[in-house]
Amino acid sequence: MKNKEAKSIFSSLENYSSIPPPELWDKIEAQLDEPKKKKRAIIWWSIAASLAIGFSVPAVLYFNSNRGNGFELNIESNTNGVVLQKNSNEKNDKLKVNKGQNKSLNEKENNNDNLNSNQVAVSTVSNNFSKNATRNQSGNNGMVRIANNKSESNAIVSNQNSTSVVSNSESSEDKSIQVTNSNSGLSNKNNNNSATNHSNGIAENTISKAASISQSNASEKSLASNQNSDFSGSNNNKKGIVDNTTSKDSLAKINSEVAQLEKVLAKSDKDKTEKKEAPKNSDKWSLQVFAGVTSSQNFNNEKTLGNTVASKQSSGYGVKTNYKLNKKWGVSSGFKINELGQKIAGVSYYNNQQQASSVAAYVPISNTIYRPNSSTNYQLVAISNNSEYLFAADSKSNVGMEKGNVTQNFKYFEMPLEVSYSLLSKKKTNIIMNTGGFVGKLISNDIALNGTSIGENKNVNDFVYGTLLSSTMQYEFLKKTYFFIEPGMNYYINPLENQSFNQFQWMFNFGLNVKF
Amino acid sequence: MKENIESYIKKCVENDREAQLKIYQLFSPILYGLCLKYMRNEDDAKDVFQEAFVIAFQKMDQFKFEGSFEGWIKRIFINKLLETLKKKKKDVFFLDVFETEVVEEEELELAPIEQEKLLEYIQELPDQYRMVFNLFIFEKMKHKEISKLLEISEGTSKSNLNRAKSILKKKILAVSNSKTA
Repeated sequence: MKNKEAKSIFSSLENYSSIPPPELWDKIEAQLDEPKKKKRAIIWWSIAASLAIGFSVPAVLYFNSNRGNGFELNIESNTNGVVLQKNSNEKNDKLKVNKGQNKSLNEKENNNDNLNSNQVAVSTVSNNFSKNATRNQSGNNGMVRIANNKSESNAIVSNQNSTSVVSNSESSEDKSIQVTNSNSGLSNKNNNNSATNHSNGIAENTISKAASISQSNASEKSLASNQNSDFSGSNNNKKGIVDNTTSKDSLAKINSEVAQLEKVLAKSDKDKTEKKEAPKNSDKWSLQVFAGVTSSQNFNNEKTLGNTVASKQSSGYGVKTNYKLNKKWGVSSGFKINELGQKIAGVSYYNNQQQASSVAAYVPISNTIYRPNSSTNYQLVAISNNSEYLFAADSKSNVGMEKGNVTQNFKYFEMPLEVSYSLLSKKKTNIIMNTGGFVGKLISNDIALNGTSIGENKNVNDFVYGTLLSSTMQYEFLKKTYFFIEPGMNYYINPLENQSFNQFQWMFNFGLNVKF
Repeated sequence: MKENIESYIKKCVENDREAQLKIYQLFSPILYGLCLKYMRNEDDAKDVFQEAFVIAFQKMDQFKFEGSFEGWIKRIFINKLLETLKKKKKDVFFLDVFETEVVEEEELELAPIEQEKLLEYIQELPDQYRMVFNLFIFEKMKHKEISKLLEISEGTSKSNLNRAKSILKKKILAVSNSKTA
């Protein structure tokens, strides 16, 4: 059969139309009445969950790490070393105010002998009933509202007579629920009807699905036999028509040909399933190459050497592989070169080379801290391995020392382990949320004073751990090749010992993702 | 008529039930027919028809009045039909071109066959053949477009069309012969 011929034979079906069963409109109408899709709720829940995990893990780690810092601070505060500042008890004060307010409210409720106290009590009840109203929203009819009003008025009356607001509201809540149920049962006939229809629809669907499953099973087992049975069915229908032996012979011949063809098809289909499954599996892997900019942030307004630490921009790059566990979830890992940094402006420092005669005046009291021998009370710290540069522990209290800007950069070789969840997958566009952790090995450590490197930081940890949260937006511009942008954030748990350092980092990566 | 449809569409965007019913009454026969051509049986066709209509109403605000509304809504239905067929059978696969025996066939002289019978034969085709056949014959799509849409190679699309035609030919011949006999 040629294409033209096929088109002409089937042209009658080109604009084929058929009146759908009338109950379908009712079902569509019922679906249109339903609130927004559950799918959307799932997406939002998954975003919320990812954000909650992404933020809570760094937060927990941050507070844990702060406890450690507190201990270090106690030691250092005795010697006026590196200073971190903490907030006072604002929260406690607020709590006290709240408690006071509650107390006054309780007193008002207990007195209950003037208009003001009645107002307080009524507002409590109305709050309770706003909950009722929310619960009853699904009913959404006039009767429900009446029920609420009734119960509200009951509550107010009983409130005047007794002292327990809570018990009144609870009992009236029960009443309102009962009234609502009975009302909705009586008044919402239409809704009930539609519900019945819906349930019928479900039953029908279930049956049809079961039927289709059995059909598909049968077809999987043997296409040939299925087709044969169809044919025998059509033969039965045509008992009256097919009554001479020649046509029977020709039909039998054609049937056997069709059966043979179907057998061949079934066999080749089976073979092809195995062949086709392999590439599907291989599509699960992807390789990402990326680069980006980062900004290390002073998240908690921390100070080092008496001055507030400022943010520092740097860059990173890396390679990552991703394995798709299913349609939504995936895991990825790889490696990345990333830089964490900070700037401190206006630091007082002492240059040993220039003031060699004075160095003897300072007595080292630890590996990092020096105390002047004289009556002056300021101290110096050596943050770098270059002992020729000593910095004032508190830059503000030191007069007569040189001032400069300190920049620190730590470069890490990081290995992330991420879990990714696909929020949106539409044609060529994907949006994916990633969260996880990483471990990093220090590969470069540099302190620069006024732009000139003076050595390495003494307090830096060789290995660093952290968490990350990012969102990948990718677009397929070539077959299986995506361009993506990836805003995100990193939190470094332990970059330094005994010194504050930027631990939080914004990042913005971009790159290519190839599926294979 | 065209203006009427436009006003119904605008009202549909505002979730006007009467306008939605009007659109349904106008387009449901052709769209239900479309579902019957793509799905294996009436129950499956009903399911997709219902889902696709809900999607169409929900996306009505995306119609820009630039092309025909019928074409737009048909596209939504075809996308939904193909998506359902792909989902329904995870093992839907397409034969590769090397298995095809593209043979020049002789013109056939066939007795006319009823619409319903032809539809039945199409419905009996395996899902993968039916998809390609419908897209090629009724939607007038090229193999290149079909291959993109179904994420298969052009060769596979051609091969599946040939398979579909081959099966249909046998069935039509059988009926034709029985009528002439």
